[in-house]
Amino acid sequence: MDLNKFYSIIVVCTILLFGSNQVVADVQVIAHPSVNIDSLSQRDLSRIYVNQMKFWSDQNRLTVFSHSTKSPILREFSVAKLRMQPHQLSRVWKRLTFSGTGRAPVMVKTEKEMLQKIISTPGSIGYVLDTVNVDNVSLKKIDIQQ
Amino acid sequence: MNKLFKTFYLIGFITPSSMAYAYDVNEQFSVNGYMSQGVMYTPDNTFLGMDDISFDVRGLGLNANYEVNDRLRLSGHVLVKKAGDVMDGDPKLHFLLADYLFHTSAEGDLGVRLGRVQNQYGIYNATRFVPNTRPGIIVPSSVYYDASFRELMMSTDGVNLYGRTNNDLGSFELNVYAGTREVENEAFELFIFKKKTPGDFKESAIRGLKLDFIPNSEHDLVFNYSMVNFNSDLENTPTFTEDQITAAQSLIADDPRIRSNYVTSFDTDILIHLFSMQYGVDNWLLTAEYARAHSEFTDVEILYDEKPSQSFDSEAYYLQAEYLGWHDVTVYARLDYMYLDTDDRDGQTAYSEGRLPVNYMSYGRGQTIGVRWFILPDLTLSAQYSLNEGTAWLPPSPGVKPAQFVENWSWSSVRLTYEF
Repeated sequence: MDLNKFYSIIVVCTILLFGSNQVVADVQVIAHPSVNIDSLSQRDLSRIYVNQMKFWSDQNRLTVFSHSTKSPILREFSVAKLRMQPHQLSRVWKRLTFSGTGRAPVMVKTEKEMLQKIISTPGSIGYVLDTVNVDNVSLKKIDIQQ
Repeated sequence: MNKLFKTFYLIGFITPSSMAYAYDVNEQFSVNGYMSQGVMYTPDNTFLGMDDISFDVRGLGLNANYEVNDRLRLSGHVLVKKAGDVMDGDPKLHFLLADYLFHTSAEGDLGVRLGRVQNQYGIYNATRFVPNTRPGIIVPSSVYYDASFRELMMSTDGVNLYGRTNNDLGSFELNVYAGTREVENEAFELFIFKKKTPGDFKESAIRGLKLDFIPNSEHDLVFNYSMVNFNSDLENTPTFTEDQITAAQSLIADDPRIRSNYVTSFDTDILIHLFSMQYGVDNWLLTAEYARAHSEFTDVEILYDEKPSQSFDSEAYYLQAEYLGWHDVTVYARLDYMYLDTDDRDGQTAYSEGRLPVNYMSYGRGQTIGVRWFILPDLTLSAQYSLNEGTAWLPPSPGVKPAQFVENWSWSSVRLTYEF
């Protein structure tokens, strides 16, 4: 086997093994209408998602929703909005849960469930793809300042 | 018990991965867990009572978290762990606590945890038995003292005060905890005396703190300092008559190595300082931790004769790099170092004075590589290979004398884990 053929096989195997990257659109952060802010810093959003901020500034309780760890939407959210590797974010959530020091976000399965949960939970925050039209539903879009 | 354990396993491993969403019972109550089955290959030394190839490595953890109201939270964790002849597979209460948040604002929190609370120490200790909360199959051998105070490192029956504040520099979090913990196995005694003695360490007072600093940075950056102190007295020490003392004195004169059989009083005080750093940049996660431990043995009496106090300093550290850039696979490499006495790094002085059966018990130098494959969202396969020089972090195994261990040894392991 010549060297080029060998390298080609290695490349094909690598793509087969690790090439499941699904490109998704941008994500938008959304909240229940009772949340009395329109924007959040990237740092505060990260604090919310690692359980370091448990209440809004008006002392209303925060409820955090997220897609599950392997969802491509979470991957996009984690890298673009939290600036954190999804594997590392998943470990932080497990550490919170299994050390008794906090809790991970409540997981949802679909975009539809995310919208339903946020609409029905005062003080909640979550995220959906940019392609999901949220203009006609009673929730709030939160601007994230980098 | 083993039957129950096996039943859990079968239920767990044949359950479809849609179970993964069953743990959020509602927004206030969640149940999580994991189960794992491993295979261990230890060609050189007995490791946790296992030789050569062993499938006797499995674990099961169940965790519940209930938010009673905005301020009060209850949390508990039961752990079943089987590893060779050392961990018996009986269920153990890992922690059970009530967490009350008595102050919270956008600037920070202040709260208290009561019950059996997790010891806050370094980056991985709070979840040292939970798979997939660290890159490898076990926590880094050097700074987490797996061979000596594993149970004491886990949790404390007592109180944990915590506070967090956010400011322009970043986020600061302080945890302070104190209480006691039962000494559940002989590893602590073997660490102190290098052999089983007639007395027992039954309970240890534990005090500790951890300060985390997360700077406002472009990257994922964490610094922390941890301190933990163990204080334990030898109990159930033997009693001797005048005649027995005279006879024992002549035996000790012939072989000083047996003097630990005649210890009539012994107090230990161990203070560990740990400095930790984790830096995430692009797809890399770099971790380094450095521990310095001061051990002091006081009130030492052999055959009621008071002996001078002893103290020594230990040092341990590791450097680790992980690549997290692939969706389904993570890889890592680590270098670990440990020296039980910084004034006698090769252990030759302790060996020549008869305090150690072999000099290489006093140090450990290790290289580890590993990989984790996320087969399904909740099913992972991890593999690890470690090559070691010295046996400082090799856990004691029943029936194996430290001198029977060889200096250069390796172990490798593969583990399948299901989380729910």
